[in-house]
Amino acid sequence: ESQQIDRILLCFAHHYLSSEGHMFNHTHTVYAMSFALCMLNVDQHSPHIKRRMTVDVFTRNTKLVDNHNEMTDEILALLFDNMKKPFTLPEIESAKVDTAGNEEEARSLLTEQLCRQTEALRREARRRNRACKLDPSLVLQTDFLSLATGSVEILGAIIQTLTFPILASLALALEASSSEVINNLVLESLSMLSSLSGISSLRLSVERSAVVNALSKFTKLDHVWTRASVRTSRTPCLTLREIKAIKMIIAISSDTNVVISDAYGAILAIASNVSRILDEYETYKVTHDDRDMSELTKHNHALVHEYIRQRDVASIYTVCERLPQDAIVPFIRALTAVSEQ
Amino acid sequence: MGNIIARIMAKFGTEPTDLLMLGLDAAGKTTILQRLRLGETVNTVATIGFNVETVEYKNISFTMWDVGGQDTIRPLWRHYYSHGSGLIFVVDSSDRDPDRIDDAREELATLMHEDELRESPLLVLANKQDLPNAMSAAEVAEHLGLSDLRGRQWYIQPTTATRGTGLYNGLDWLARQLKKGRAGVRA
Repeated sequence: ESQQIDRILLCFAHHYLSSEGHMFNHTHTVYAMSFALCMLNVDQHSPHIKRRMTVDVFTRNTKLVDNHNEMTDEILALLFDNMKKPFTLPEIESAKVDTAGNEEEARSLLTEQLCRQTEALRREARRRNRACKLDPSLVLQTDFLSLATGSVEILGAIIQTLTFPILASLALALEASSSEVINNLVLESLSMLSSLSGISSLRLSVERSAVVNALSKFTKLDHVWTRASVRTSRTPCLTLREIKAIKMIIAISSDTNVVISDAYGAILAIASNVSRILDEYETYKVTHDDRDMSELTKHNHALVHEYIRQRDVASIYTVCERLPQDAIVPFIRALTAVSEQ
Repeated sequence: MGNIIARIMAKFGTEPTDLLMLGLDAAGKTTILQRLRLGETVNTVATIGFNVETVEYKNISFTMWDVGGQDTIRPLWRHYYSHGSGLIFVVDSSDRDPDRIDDAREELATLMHEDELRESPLLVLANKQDLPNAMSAAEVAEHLGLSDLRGRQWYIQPTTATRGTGLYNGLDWLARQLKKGRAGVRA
């Protein structure tokens, strides 16, 4: 809206003069200059302009509005050169689509754009690496920093773009190795992803559900009762990896600020299995003497008790009353499905 | 025969013309631009700044700028209004607030005094005719003092931009005027 642009530029001109270290001494000069630059940007980059301004035309016309003789040919020529490079930001692009009432489209547009940029960065890094034998990950890192340019809005799209590739590679890393260090690293990454996707303003519920589902894959609690350990020690044993994953899932699901749209099934299945295991431990303790317990069983029970408390597990079931309205239905549905099992 | 030549000319002879579109805020300029935009503009990147659209109509390619701003920066537009290009002035006919009508009249009056616009045909769009209590085109013309304009080709067209009613009638008139002007220059 031209009038709105005009008012914004006037405000800008006043503000510019009130700040330190300015080039011009009159509001009108700043206003006229920024108006001219705004027009120049359209002139140079809009597909609708057939006859674009040359630097001479721009300098001549702009000087016509230089009522206080503060603009020089050099400054104007320099500004003209700067304007030749288009500056359309992805945020502005998405804002444009947003106003058309189509948020989803804006989102996918931004994501697509990021994918393209990432791909371009990757290629560029490869090229540079070949040229001067640099570490490609280092090159990528610095480029990513400049890509993000400190904008929070872009974070959602970045996470959206990266979540699934990250989850896939984490799963691969885990499959390939059984070392404790890798396990911890993967769990830590998942926890970071989960907290990032939990920022509600970024609307990443799908990504968060994916993280929770990935976490639930860490535990194979459905088969816990048929494990070899049940036969030898007569109670199910959990690995440290499973215990940590369970603890994390409990933490994520008790956070009511975040809606986990379709991961409640996985969460509730785990919760019911965990409470069964805990119950089993209790009865085992009552019916068996401490001395009968094998070292392994003792150790395992202690470990589970250290990480998981019955109270926390139970809180998953009661989380229902604190859930936002749109989450109650999937929660109840998952609950009934799990009880049937 | 003449008909065939005219048709061939029509294929090649789209003449580029720049139009300025002015008017108070909320008169409906943006809606008009959007309404006139032909087809879907595929993959246009948002250009930071003013709204510009190109409309091909009656062999004339209109490039319309939605411009505004203080009088002091008008000379900046010089590159886009060479002699004889048209001027569209949009008025919100439903706004009967006397202050706003005065503003519109003054805005138009200063435009009419611009040297570069001296020969420009003036198309006034009395917009928002669909709203209840909208002034008729004649009323708007009277408020703006159009009949007092001397030596100016002008035309007032009632429009409803949201439905597109009347917009092309207005462009028809402008196209005729601009062709006439060109013929005059050539002769």
